[in-house]
Amino acid sequence: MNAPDVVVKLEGITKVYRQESVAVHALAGIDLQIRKGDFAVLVGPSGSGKTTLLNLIGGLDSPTSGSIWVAGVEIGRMSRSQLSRLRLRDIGFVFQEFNLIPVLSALENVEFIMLLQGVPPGERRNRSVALLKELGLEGLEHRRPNQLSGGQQQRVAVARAIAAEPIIVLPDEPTANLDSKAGGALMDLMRRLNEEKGVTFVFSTHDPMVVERARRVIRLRDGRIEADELRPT
Amino acid sequence: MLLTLAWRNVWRNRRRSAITLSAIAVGVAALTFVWGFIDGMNREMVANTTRYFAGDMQIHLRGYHEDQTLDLAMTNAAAVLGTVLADPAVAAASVRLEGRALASRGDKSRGVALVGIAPGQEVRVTDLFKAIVAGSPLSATATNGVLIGSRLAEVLRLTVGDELILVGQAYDGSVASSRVPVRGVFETKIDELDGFLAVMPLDAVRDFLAAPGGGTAIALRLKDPGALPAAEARLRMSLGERYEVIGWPTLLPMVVASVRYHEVTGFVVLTIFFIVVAAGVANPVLMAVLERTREFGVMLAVGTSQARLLRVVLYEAILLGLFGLVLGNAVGVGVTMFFQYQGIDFTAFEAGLRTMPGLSDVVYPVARLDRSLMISAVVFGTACLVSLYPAGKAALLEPVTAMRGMAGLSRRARGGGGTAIRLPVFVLVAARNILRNPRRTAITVGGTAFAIVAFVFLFGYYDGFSEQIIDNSTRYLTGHVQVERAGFRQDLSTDLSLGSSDTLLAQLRGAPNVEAAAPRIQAQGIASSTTKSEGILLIGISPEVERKVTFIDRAMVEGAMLRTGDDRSIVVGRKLAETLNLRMGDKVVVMAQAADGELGTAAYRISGIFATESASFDGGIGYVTLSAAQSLLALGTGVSTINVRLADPAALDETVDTLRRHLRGPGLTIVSWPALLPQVDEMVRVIRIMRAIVLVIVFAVTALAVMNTVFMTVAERTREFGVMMALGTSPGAVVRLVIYETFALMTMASLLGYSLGVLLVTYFARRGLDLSRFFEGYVTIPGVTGIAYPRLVVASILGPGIVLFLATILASLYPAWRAARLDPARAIRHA
Ligand SMILES: Nc1ncnc2c1ncn2[C@@H]1O[C@H](COP(=O)(O)OP(=O)(O)OP(=O)(O)O)[C@@H](O)[C@H]1O
Ligand SMILES: [Mg+2]
Repeated sequence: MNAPDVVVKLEGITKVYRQESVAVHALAGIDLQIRKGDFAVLVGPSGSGKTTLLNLIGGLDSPTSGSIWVAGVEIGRMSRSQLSRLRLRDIGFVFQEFNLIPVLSALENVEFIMLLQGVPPGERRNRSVALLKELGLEGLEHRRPNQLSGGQQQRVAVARAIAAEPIIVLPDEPTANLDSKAGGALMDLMRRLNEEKGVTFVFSTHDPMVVERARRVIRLRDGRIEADELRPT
Repeated sequence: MLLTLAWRNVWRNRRRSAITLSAIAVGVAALTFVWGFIDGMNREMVANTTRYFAGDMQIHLRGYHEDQTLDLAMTNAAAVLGTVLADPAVAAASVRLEGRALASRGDKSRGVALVGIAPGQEVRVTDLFKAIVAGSPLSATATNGVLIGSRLAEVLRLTVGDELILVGQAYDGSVASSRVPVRGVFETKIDELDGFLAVMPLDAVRDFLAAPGGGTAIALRLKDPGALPAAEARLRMSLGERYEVIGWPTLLPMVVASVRYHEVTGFVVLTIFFIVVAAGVANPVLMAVLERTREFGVMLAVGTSQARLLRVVLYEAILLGLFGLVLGNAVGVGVTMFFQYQGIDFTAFEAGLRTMPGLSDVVYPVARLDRSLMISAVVFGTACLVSLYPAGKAALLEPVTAMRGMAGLSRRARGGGGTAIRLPVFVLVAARNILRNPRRTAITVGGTAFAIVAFVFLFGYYDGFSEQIIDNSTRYLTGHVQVERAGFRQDLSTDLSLGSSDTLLAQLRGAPNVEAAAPRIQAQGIASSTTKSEGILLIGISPEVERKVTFIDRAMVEGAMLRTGDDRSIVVGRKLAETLNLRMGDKVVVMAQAADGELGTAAYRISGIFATESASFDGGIGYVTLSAAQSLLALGTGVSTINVRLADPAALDETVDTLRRHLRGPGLTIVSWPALLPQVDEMVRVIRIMRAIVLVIVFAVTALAVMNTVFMTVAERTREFGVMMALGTSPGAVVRLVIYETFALMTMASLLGYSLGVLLVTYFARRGLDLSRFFEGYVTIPGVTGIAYPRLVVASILGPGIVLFLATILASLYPAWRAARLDPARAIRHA
């Protein structure tokens, strides 16, 4: 079976979108394993299937064919609410923009996940404060998203994604809306979390700077894996 | 081009358009139907009352209409008839001779209007003969026989072939009397005709009243009823000064008063409707624009002029408005037309409807083009007007701010406030979302609160009105409970008296919840002045005790109420005094059937005149003392009823039960006011139905508006819901979040709506809502007065209030469910 350190495994994954009787083959046969502690990046031209792949791994969407295992459990046939629980417990998402719940403060956004998980109030408050501090957001806890810069918002989103200690964090083009300095800082932060805490990351990006910092680069083209290479650290 | 753009916008957001459209359509359809219903009732009243007896117009000797006396009979009726028939607008005309008489059979009697007609002429003018339900109409050559109404036949226990005894005052002042066989019984469903009209051949009545060749009226039918004013003017010219030409509105002031009454209440209801509908339409139209701030920013940024943007927005409203109107009119006119042919059966409320002359069991609404145009214009205007505000706002946007999204956001956001999440997080999110778009929240809360105010006010109005009717009619006439011999009420027969009442009175006064009990005598009689007579209800009272049960003494406008011992005095209503041409101190002769079978006669002087604003009281009741009535009717110490006032009228049923258990006597029955005053009881029930109809429509529009708002808050947050679900928020939690928001909106709207509504009702409860300007004449519904006092009955608004609340929550379930069904992967892509 799976090697003990494989957290996500995909076998023969295809995804076909039907739009007005035209079939779009977003993914055309993907086999992939993500290991614990990976810091991997998905690259490829626009429309190559990066977002689709991340969504499938995160249980946001279901494949047309093939199987996906997350922490050894097959998720392809899960119901909506089972998927919802999976995402809550095992997956952390970071999106390109408008990531945070606008009516909640930075701190509340981070607490939100733990709250859904049923972490007691005192504990979740302490962990959130500590996390925000660790991510350099001290003093910004009570700001609402629209009072934060894009980079700060993304850092809050990362804090939220890792707060629940998921098996894997899936940022989809996290730096696309940031300047290179803020983007670089965000990458350094995630890299540090990866190294110090062993958090597993799979990104999608167009940003060479992100690719540069990755330790594994998976190249997609037309819904297929073109190359999958490890980079020396 | 702009129109295409507007059209695509409407089409793009099909759901929102559908909601806006249905708000407009529901409103238009409801208004069309309600108005059609009122028009239908009015049309029927006029048609029925004129068609069976009054005719479109009547000709009399000048003064007869004011003072209906035989002295003012035409002696050359045939010649006048010729002139009338020569008029081109007149379809047919007939001569009549009218007088008053006491009709009796055995020991039962009743005052009636005795009318002599020429059968051959009459059939061409009125439909009275078509209303014959037993026996046959009068033949053209008939010289004898009488037709009577079904109610009169019932009261006098007469059937076709029986003989009726008529007693009256002849032209020369002598007493006339005659026995006539009943030829037929008619039923027009108009109480004044069915209960109080006796029709005989013209020559027979001329004989009876000793007025050979005489005629008091010529009734005529017009070829086109709409040509009334023109024909009236022309006949006045051709007939000259000696005659009066009187159209139906003057002949039937009751009908005009009832029509006006309907128009006024209809106006109140329609106005509230218009406003609720306007609010219901304004809400989605406003939001359709406000939610697209960003889009408009882009349009401005790419160089669209402000004027064009304004036009796009207006075109959208116009398109939606037009579709809504087409749909609403189709549904409204369709439903109205359907019932116009089918009729709406109100048989269950017949007595209530009969209080309005000419109405009985089936109401036929009418669809009228002018009404539809009027409703359409107002609703359409409202839609355009309310869209002007957001259209202007859109045009004046700063493109940059607009593109950044909701302009209000950064302004509203506050720093600090570092409280822990103490509220359940979804409640917190819901609460903050409501503050996030304060304008939308304000519009929705405002609109819903308005609907609540409208409903609270309408309920207050109806509750107050019902209570007033009940209170006025019980306290002027019946009291809450009447004790009588079984069957007494049907024909007020003197031989159904209770006998001596002392023990019974003592027992009643000792019973729980009985505040006062008064013995009474009630009998049908006929009251005559030197020139005229009128059928009355003669009531003998024990003045001091009566005062504690009914409050007629408070309605005195001249003189004073009777005192014990005033056995030669009578107190009458103002209207009766007017019809009989009597003043204070004048003599009245009253005839009634006595218990010994003889005709009792007595003369009284008027010592007081009362006015209650109710036609049936003021026009048909005379009070004398108990002992005077006892001697007139040869009753000894007997009384006909004991009337009771309760300490707590709400405990009516319980009290009646107790009394029934404790009071025993041969044939003794205890009757509560709803049975004594069925028309009042049913009027109250009719009001309740009207209330329910209004409520359903107000609620439908409100629920639609709330659903619309919820849809919008969900639609604009698609992405946010996507993120929340990606984070693992369960579909159930999403549903809850949306429902909490509705809950919060409705709580605010309720607080605002109920406090304003209660204030409004309390204010008018104190001040009274003076509608008397609109009712110049008397209103036929007993107990209705010109000033309505709305009344807040918490119990009656509580239920509907909860229903409204739940209905809106239910309405939000659908958008909530849609939100929970969102595909998170797609929702996140949503721009
Ligand atoms: N919901 C959808 N419906 C139809 N087609 C879709 C849908 N989502 C994605 N696609 C199509 O699937 C293909 C892969 O899309 P995907 O979003 O995964 O690409 P991507 O690599 O993330 O591109 P980008 O770099 O632009 O974000 C594209 O051709 C896209 O048009
Ligand atoms: Mg993508």
